[in-house]
Amino acid sequence: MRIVRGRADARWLPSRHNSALFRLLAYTRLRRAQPEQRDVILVIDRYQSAMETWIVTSWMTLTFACYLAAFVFADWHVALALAVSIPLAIMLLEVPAIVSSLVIAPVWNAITRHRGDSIRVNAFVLMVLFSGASAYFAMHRTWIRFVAWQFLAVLVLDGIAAVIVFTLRDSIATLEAKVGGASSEQ
Amino acid sequence: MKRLRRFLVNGVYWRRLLRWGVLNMPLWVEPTVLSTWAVVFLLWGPGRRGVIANLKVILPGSTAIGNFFRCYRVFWNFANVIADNVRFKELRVGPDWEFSGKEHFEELQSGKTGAIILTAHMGSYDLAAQLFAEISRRPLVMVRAPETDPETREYEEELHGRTVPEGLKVDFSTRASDLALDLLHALQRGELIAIQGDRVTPGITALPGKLFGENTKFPAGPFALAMAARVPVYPLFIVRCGRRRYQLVVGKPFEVPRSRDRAAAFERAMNEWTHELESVLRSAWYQWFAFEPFAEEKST
Repeated sequence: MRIVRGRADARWLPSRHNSALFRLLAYTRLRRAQPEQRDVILVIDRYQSAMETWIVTSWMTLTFACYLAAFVFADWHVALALAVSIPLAIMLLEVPAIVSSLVIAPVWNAITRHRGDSIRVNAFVLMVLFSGASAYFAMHRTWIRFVAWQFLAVLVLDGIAAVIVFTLRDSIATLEAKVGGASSEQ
Repeated sequence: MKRLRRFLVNGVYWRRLLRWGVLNMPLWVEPTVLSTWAVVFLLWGPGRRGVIANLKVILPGSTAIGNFFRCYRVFWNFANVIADNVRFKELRVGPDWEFSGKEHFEELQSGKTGAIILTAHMGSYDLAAQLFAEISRRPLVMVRAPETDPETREYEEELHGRTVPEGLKVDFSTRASDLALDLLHALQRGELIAIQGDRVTPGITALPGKLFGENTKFPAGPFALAMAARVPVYPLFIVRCGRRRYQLVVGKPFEVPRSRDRAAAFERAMNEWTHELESVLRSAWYQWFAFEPFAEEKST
């Protein structure tokens, strides 16, 4: 486990973020951040950012709720359909992840001889499913096409951010080394 | 029957399911999974009633409906804490830490004599012990109550065997007399002992005390050990502040001096401990994982 001690500004380390968009945002924030000496121990892990997790969770859950409202409760008034779909989406979002964990991840792990967690495989499967659903709903003529297009637009933006992050990789590494100078490998 | 027992609240099934979830769920799905499971925990009547009874005492004037939602918050935190704990053990990914009472923490780390760390069922006891073992050079013995279910106990022991870092020893509070001697020797060797001091499990010697004005019982062991070994007691609490973010709160240490009037010495120490415990619980009630009413009248 890699940690940074005594530097609260290390919370903006790009390596504490998962998606390219958030890595890029963290990088720009870290460039402007002043050294903040505080009694903290910060862990460097790509899923460590609470802000990113909450934003992505809310975004995916709301998108899923919209798809449910448009598909399952298509005949209902939009407001009512959304009100029912949001709690339903919170409960059902785990279902494709469970199916992927039981069906796809074991096959993938057997092929790649990977031992350990299947988090990334399942995240990828879910993202593919969401992209497929978005492509499907983007063809509709109702309000749902706007939701689908925003999802696809964010994916494209993340792709562009990934290219930028790749080109900035040396600069990011230098900046991270400066802040994580006290980091220790354990 | 034995097969069905694993599905009880203390059964091994839920531990395995949690481990499976931590190893499989994408991180952005996790909040929705945990919020759903916190609702499922609400169906556990005795636990829910226990938390609500405790909240009523900690927050005087609170309403039943308000405490029902507060109870959800307690379960939500509990679900997050046990997930963080499994993640650390299985994937070696820990949370971020902040410190309060750092001067006492430094003193505890740099001290040469043994000391007792008295803590409560808050945040993740395991995570804090593991953190301490990793950042401190001082050996730490963690005393905990064993699991009541044999299968769960086996599962937890296997997990501990695989994941406990060097410098951290886990011992169980059931073998009272042998353990007391072992712990006394450990303290005399300058080691640290971490014990939970907020509730009494069956078979443990207890001392009477008052918490939020209610009569209750606390384990006598930590106080008797501190008196016998002449070591200080450090109140230490682990508070979950948010997703993968914890605060280590270290209170002012106190001693349990040897005197002719042992009862008075214990009473003074108990007052110090309950004062610290109350001040933390008042602000972090949503972190206290005491699923039985602590007040004697209510628990009977």
